Amino acid sequence: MSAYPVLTTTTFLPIIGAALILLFGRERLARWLALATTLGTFAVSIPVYVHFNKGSNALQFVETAAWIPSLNISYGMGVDGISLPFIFLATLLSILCVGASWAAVQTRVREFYAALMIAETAMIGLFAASNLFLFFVFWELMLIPVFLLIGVWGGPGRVYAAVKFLIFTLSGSVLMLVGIIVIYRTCGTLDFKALAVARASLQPAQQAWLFAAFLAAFAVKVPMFPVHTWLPNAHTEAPTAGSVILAGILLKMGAYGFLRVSLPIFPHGVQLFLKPMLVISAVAIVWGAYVTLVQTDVKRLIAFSSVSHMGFVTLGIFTLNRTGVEGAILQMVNHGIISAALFLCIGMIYERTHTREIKDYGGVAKTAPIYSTLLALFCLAAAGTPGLNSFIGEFLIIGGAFKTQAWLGAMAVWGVALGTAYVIWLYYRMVMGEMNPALVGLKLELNAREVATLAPLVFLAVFLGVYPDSVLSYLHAPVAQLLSAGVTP
Amino acid sequence: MSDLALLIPELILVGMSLALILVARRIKKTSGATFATVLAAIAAALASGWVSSWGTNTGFAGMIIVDGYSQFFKVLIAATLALAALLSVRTLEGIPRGEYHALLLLAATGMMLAVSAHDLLPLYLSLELMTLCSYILVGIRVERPTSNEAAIKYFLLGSFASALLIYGISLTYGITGTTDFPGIASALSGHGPGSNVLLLVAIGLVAAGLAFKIAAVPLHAWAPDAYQGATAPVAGFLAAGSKAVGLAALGRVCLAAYGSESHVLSVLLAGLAGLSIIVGSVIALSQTDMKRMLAYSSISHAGYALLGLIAGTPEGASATMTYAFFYVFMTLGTFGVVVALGERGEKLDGYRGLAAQRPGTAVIMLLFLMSLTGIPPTAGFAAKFYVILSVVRSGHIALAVLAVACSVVSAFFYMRVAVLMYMNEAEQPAPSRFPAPVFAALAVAALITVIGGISPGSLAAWAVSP
Amino acid sequence: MTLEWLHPGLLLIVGAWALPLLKGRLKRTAMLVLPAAALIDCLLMTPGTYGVTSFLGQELVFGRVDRLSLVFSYVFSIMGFLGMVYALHVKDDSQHVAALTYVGGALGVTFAGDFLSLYVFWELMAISSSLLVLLRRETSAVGAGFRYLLVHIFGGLLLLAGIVLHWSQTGSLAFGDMAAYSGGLAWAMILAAFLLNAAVPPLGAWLPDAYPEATVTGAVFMTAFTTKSAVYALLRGFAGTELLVWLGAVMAVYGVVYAVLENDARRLLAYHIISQVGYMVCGVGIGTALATNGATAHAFAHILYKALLFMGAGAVLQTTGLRKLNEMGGLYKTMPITLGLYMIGAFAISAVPLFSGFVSKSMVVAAAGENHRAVIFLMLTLASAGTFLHTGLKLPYYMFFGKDSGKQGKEPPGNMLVAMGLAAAACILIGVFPGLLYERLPNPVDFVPYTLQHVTSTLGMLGFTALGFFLLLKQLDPVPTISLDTDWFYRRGATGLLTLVRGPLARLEYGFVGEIYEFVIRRPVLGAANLFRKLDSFVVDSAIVGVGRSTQNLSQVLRSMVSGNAQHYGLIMAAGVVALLAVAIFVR
Repeated sequence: MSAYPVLTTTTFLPIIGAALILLFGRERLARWLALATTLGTFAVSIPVYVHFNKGSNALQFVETAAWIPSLNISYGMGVDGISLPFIFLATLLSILCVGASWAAVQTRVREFYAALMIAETAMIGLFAASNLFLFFVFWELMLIPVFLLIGVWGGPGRVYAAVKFLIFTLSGSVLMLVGIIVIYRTCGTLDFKALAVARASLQPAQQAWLFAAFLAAFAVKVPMFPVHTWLPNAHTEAPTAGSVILAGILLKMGAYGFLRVSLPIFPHGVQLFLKPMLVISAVAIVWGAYVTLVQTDVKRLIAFSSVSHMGFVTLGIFTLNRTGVEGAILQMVNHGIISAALFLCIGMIYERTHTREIKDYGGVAKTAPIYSTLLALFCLAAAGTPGLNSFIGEFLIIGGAFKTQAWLGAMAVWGVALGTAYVIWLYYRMVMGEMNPALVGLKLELNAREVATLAPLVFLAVFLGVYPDSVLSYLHAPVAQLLSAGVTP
Repeated sequence: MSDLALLIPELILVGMSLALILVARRIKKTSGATFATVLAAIAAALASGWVSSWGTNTGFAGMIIVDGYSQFFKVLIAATLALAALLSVRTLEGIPRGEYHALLLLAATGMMLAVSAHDLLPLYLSLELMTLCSYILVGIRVERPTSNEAAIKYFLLGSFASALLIYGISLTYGITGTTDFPGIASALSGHGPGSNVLLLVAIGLVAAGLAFKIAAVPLHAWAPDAYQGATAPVAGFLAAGSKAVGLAALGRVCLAAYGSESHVLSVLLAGLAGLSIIVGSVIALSQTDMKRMLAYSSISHAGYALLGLIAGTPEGASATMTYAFFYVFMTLGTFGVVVALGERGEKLDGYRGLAAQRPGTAVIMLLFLMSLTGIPPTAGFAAKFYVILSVVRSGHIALAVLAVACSVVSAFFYMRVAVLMYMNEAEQPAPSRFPAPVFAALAVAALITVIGGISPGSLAAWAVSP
Repeated sequence: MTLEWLHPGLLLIVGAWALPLLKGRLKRTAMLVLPAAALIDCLLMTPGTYGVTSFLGQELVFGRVDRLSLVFSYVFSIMGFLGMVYALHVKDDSQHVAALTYVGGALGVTFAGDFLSLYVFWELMAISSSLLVLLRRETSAVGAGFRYLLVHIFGGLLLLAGIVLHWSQTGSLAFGDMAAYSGGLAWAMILAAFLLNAAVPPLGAWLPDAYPEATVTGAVFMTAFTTKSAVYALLRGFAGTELLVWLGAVMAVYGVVYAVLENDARRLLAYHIISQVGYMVCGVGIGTALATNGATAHAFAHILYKALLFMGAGAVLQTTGLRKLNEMGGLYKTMPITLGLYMIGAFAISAVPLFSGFVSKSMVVAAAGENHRAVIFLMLTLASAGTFLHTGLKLPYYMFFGKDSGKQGKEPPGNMLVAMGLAAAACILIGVFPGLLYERLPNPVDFVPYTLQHVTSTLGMLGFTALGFFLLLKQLDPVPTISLDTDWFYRRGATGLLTLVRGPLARLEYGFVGEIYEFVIRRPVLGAANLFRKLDSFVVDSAIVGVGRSTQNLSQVLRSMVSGNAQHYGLIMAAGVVALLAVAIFVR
């Protein structure tokens, strides 16, 4: 354990940074302040990884304080093996976002970084929250900053995308609010630990409704088919940093919700919805992959690929066996890394070419070897190439799926096949072949800052590929406890 | 202890208003009147605290009661008065300042009396005092036709509502032979609930009369025109104060007087609440005038506030109190921004590109909008949480779902303002810097909105039901 | 990884990345030292199980060293060495890195004792080998390499699916004889994946599609590893699978038949790979000790002489830039050494006695005869006749002799010749002293290649083929392009075989299999994709967005009902009050 309340510090340091930036951030200063804040946040979070006890399945670094005594709602923080990787991811990606926006964002810099910092607080807080009320607060806190990130600094269709994102997400989360209130009304507590016991007072029928209510929120965030249609707009129009946050963290919030709320608290509801969940996950995988295949806009392509990849995650979660669930969580981390990396790559070349149409590219390799190599690495990773990170995740998920039902596994494999096809095809059209005349004379090669921005992700992609236990070892205990707690297929 | 002592807060306000009327001619600078009004408001608030520190007392033969409930609302009303006065400094060109503030003070007096009325007649009288003053306040911009039209409509419909109220009161008196709340309650406890049709009619009429004050559908029609016609501060004063008082009165009447008919009442209130939420948020969707949009939003908020009373329990009542409390500050804050932007603030288009010109104002406005939508971490979320919790407690889950669904609709039009502010290019020159009083008012409102969001418990703790 | 055992594949894969850092002589030394070190590493190995790591609760075996894996590892690392010698003059580092990684992947597959590590190296081979094609950097090459990569990744996914299914069924990842699971879905998937890499028709169209497009030096590597590592995997998992016997035999003939139609030297040789691998697959299928020995031995010999042949064709391509046979001719004057070395390879592949092909191929054929498979025996013999006809006679004739095309070739760089010389030497060495190879085969060998009957029959067969060749010489002139119009064959007094070729098979090859990606994979996929995209935007999205739109419309309607007229307001209020009272009375 560390000397200071590490989770609270990690969570709220960014928002302090945001305040500083808003108060006296001239543009140059704002950038440095943001960088300092994100780095500081990462630094203060280090004790969590150092002192974390992988063996235990309980929440660790628990901090509690009275908050709303009249309702017996308390402020509670704590992490377990499931949430830990995402705190790491959130703190890391925020740093990279600052790096990626350094040159890209030139208008209203202060507000941009302030919004970014608030979003970081929301991300970290969500994964660190140890009760449902706080969970919901951070869940909603995420809304406005991202809404602004998309809408103010985004592309041509940004306003539509931003509003669509806001309305979709909100319509999901308000139902979750009712669900939370019903849980509170029935169980008398919102603390995750206490709920594990108090859930006994939820009737099966009630649990089904609750699952549906939370599903509305989680499904939109994940996003699951058919409520995924906000995603392509949002991801495509958002600035690079926004896309990175969206793809890297925001999508994981939904899946994390399933793991943190749905599975432990209303197992009967899960039982009831198991089949439909599996089906729509499988549909999402294949559907998303197909739609991705024929996108003509690079960013939109990556965005749609997220639908397919998150389909894998939900599929893994709802196989409800150890292999599948651990694979799903690992895959969440992997997708966070890879999609973030891809969006960064696309953003970097967009800054030079100002086009997102695939047909405007081609032969990039001729002038930008480093860029092409890195992009190749990430594309291969996205395609689930062994030795790179997402292979193990997909391997485990497909294994879990086959254990549940063979046809699910088949769908998943078909999804991988299509996934490979679209990502390799994308690379083929963008980087290989003849140089597109429009690109001649442009300096496409990355500069040092950009390489530095991508370097951590390269490292992670390879490291998790050869040593996935670095994440999996955190998962064994909590996942085992999750599955032993009554949610068995 | 003399009964008058119980009315010290009201007396302070009345005194100040009389003083202002007397020296009206002398007042050259707005700030003087404003300062006096704010001073009176603060004094009244402190006084009410002092008075209620003696514990629960009734006076004037049980017509007036001073308890935690009334004290809570009196502080709230004082705050409303102060903020409204502070916001007014901008909009007083060509308006007799002394009279204006005197009317504000008298209206506030009526409000304070209403919340501590323990008898139907003083309740009626005090509400009339409040309403009469507000008629004039709405129409005080004599040179403006819209203002006059608004005042006339408000007056006609208002007198209609008053008639309903007094009719309901007289029916109640006919049935029970008394007009004070405990008397009514004890008389009604005699015969079983729902047995007396006349009584139900009486209750319906009283509920309608009070629903008018909080502009609940279907008695909402006056609000949009009145708000649009009135100056922004007056509109805010009505939206906040009138609503708070109406809710307070409804709460007391429902719990203290007609408690035995809680079944019928809960149905009536549920209907009013549901309709208000739906109609308010849906129509607001297509408004282009800022004040008019806020009027419809205030209608839907009246619906949300009513959700608490449906349960007919003390917890429910305190939920409504909390809602009223936070609502007052967020809505006054929003109107404050409208005031601050002057002409530009009246139309939605005026908000285009505001964030680029006045980042600070835009952020504050965004805060109030989030609060009105009910997004954490703002007071609006806490308030919504309380009322929905109480409506779930009372078992109307469908109503809860409806409420949150409509809050998504409301998010659409609140956030449209945010879109205009942040995601559009400015078309009009940047607004001039706004005066200190307005700034102070905005600061207070914003502060409460944030604190209410971060630790709702601290403020909600005072919300003790009758 | 245990210390007493060093994974040769890893040695190469890691070592490869050092090359770009080195310069000049040092680099060239490294290029030779790395595969040499790998070879020595393999030679020093003693059978056993090494490099066992635990992963996902499974045991991963990176080093399953036994006689079978050893003999393959020898030939792979030898080939790696020869290939690097041949490529020594190439300046493009990325080619060397890819090539070494490729070799390393093959070695990894060879030593993999479990499916997971097998799959990892399998994919590694796919990617690195496709680079060898892509790095030729010509539009046609990029296209071919892209197709090649797609095919192999799809194959890899088939393998992956099979593995995962197998894993979830048996809970084990160990890679051994699969006979126990014969007929199961997992079994079928894994077998199919192996067959795809072994280029068994109709899954084999990628091979003649990609190899001719590879870089001169890259093609040499490619001939050796992908198909042969697949043969190894088949030997390991599917020995004695009846299906393979027939597939193999068909392959052997198929390859030869299409070689007939070929005009591109390297594409012709590519078809002969298919044919030769057919022998091995057939041997695997027969599965007797002799047959598996034969398959192994043939793989060993084949790698060397096929590499030699590709080196020869590559040398011509390199120095003259010619690919089409009909454009060549008369190069013997300018490239005698190349010719000589090439001919050694040609004799080897044609199984001329005293050359490596003879001692290995005859094993398979004999195995076929041994357990009385007359048809198979016949097909294999026929195929070897055809082989001699086209690699042994037709190709060298038109390439080096024939009518002089006036093209002035010149001998390729020294390192190429050295590589070819070494390969040739190896062919002869094995041919003359088969014992050297035999004693390393997985099963004890009591097979004697040089019996009177063998030698005479072979020589007879070859003799007649040669005779037929020179008689039909006029008719066999290759034409500029592959045209399938009928009189093309009639002018050549087509044999029955050729009419068959002209018929369904030809259409099968060039119309269907060659374009299988286009017709079976891409079009339906893209069609479905476009359909789904439309649905996604026009149905799913608008369905949800429509809710919002309709709300706004409703709002417009309601707003228009607000007249601003006091009487109306009054009416609304009155109606409301009445409704309230009604409700109040109604619900009591």
